[in-house]
Amino acid sequence: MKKTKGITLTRRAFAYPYVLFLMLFVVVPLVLILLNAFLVDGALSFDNFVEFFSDTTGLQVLENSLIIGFATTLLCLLIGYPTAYFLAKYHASSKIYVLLFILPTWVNFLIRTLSTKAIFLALGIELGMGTVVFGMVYNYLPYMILPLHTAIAGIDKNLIEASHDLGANGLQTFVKTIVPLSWSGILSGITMVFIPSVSTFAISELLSNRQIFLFGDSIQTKFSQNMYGVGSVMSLVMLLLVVLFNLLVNRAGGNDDDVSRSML
Amino acid sequence: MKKISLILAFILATTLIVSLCACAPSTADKLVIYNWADYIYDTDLEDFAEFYLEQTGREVEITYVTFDTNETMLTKIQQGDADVDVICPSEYAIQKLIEGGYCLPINYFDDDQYQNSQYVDDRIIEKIDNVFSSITCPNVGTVKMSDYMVPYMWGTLGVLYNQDVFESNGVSIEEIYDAGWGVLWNKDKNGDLLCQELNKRIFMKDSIRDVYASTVLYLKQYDLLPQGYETLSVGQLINTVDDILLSKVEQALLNQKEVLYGYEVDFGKNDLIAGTAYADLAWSGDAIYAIEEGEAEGVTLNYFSPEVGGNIWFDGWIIPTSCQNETGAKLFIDYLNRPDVATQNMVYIGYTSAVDSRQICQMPEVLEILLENEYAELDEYGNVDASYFFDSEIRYPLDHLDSDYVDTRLGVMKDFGTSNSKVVQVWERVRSTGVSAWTLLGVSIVIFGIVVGTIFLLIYVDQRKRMCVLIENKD
Repeated sequence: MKKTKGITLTRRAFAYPYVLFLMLFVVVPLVLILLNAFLVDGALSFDNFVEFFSDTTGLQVLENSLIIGFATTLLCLLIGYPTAYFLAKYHASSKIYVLLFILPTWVNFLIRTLSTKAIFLALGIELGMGTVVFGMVYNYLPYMILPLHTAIAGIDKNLIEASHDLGANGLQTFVKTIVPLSWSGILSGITMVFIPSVSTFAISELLSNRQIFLFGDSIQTKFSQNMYGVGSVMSLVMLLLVVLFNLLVNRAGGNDDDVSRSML
Repeated sequence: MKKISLILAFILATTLIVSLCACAPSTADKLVIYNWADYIYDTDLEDFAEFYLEQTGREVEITYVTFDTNETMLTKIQQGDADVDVICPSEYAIQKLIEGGYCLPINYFDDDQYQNSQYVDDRIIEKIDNVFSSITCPNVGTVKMSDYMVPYMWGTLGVLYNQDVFESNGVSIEEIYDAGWGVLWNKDKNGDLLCQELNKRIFMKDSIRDVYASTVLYLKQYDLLPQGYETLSVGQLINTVDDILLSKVEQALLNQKEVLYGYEVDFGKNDLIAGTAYADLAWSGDAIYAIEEGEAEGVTLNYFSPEVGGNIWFDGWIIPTSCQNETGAKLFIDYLNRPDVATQNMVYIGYTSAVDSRQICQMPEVLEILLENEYAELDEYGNVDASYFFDSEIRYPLDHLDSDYVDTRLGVMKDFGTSNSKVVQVWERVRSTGVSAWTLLGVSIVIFGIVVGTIFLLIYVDQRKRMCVLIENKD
């Protein structure tokens, strides 16, 4: 008995470096942000919160960011679902096709975005909101397709056949069998696209010549102008929104174990 | 057990000895330089180490640390996180550091032991001391800035533009010069449209202080200043930050958005060279780089500092109170002012060194470096002709612009102080205005709705059809 206990302890020890890493680079910075949010000239205060929430500009920027994130997610889902569906249906066994869809992510996203910009310029397309959303969808689409593909490919073929046997046509089978069964994939796809696209700023800066000013830009401006308090409040707001969103998605997933596993 | 502890003790002892031995030979002096990235010639540091050895007989271990904005550097110094020996901030950050008591006096220009202090342009020192005449250092009182800093690089803020595009659209250089800061608003001297082609092809710098300076000067040029502000000199005007002026600046920047291509930090000059943008707010050093690169690409770019007034800036070396090697830091500063080192840096960085061009323009070692880098050429008699380098109005505005203009029309920006957050607010308002994502939301929801709706409609139609079939069969 003692021996096994010893072994489990040493096994656990392999996790310590990462736990230490987490503490240093995730927990400590979070605590610092939290502290900074409540500090004004070294004294505890809510002034930073008042300053942010009374500033309509900041709220409008946040609203724009949320909308862009939402639209990106919606468009990714719209394009990603059929792609993942047909990939799973016709090429479930061959990994090559899936690989083709992840291939772009092997190139650094800044390089891809700069190339996208060059293409827009060559085509004479005016940079703006449209190009930003295009860039975001292009960039985050693989993160939507991948979980969807896994979910759809995992559906038991017998269930689909059963649906046909019971008289449903192709479309009905799709809506009433495949979509509900791939629900977990949809939810994790949405999370994987929405969260990074809300807080992005590099893509929007490059693809709009910095005309589209998003929440990430605003936070960055605050920090670079020595306004750490307000900047921290904004980071906190962003963090809370993400947590809230995760909770909502988790609830929508019900007790599905796969979903909660892919969430965390 | 005893054995183990003995072995342990032995290991500890040996490691201790080894580590002591390892420490022992590193008696080399240390020098930590805190500077902008790419703001010094590659081999300067090694060469300085040799120079240091010659001068002091000791080795020096140089560490080069960089910052990307003055604000990052300021925070680090103010929080006492930076163990550095010599720093190169911009003038307003130096003001802040001196006022915060973070600087040691250097007294570079009063000390005879520095051989190269004579080469520093006295016009620059004079300008700096005039502008920052009332700095108070804690526990010392009012001080002269030149006692605390040694200027390194300097330049002006102005308008970089594509001359080809203007000329092919019938806009002459005189008209551009007359338009001044108006070029960035696509306005000619009367406030009318300057050039149709220019619309949506103008860049503004994503840099709050520079934008502020250029905008107030634009207001001055077009008599748009609020009452009572017309009499302020350029130097006073660009350092005036109050609500009345800010609201005017905000309005001007909002109006400007209609003609803007966007805001940029680093890409602007490349876009001008590539010909995707035609005008940009630029620093003289960047402008020189862009003009030279443009020449290679076959694009004629040009730069000017508008007549109504402009901004002149300085970066200089200071020694922070945290300095561990004051002699080394001073030697380093002096080394950078050696004419050949200064020229090499100038050629590499692209900005103008504070070393006086009038004193060094004939020196053989300077000409040699310029020849090597193709900034000078040999004429038919074998003489070196460096006029391309030294006669450049952009590189040496003090030598070639009217001295009255330099004195009265080129202002230095100080720290905005407590008004800074107000300027940031205005800037964010300007940046976010006119961007509305609601249309986007509408469009994407509509698309999504159409697709989902079609699917359900198809199902519904299909069901109806089958129902009909069932009913028919029944009949």
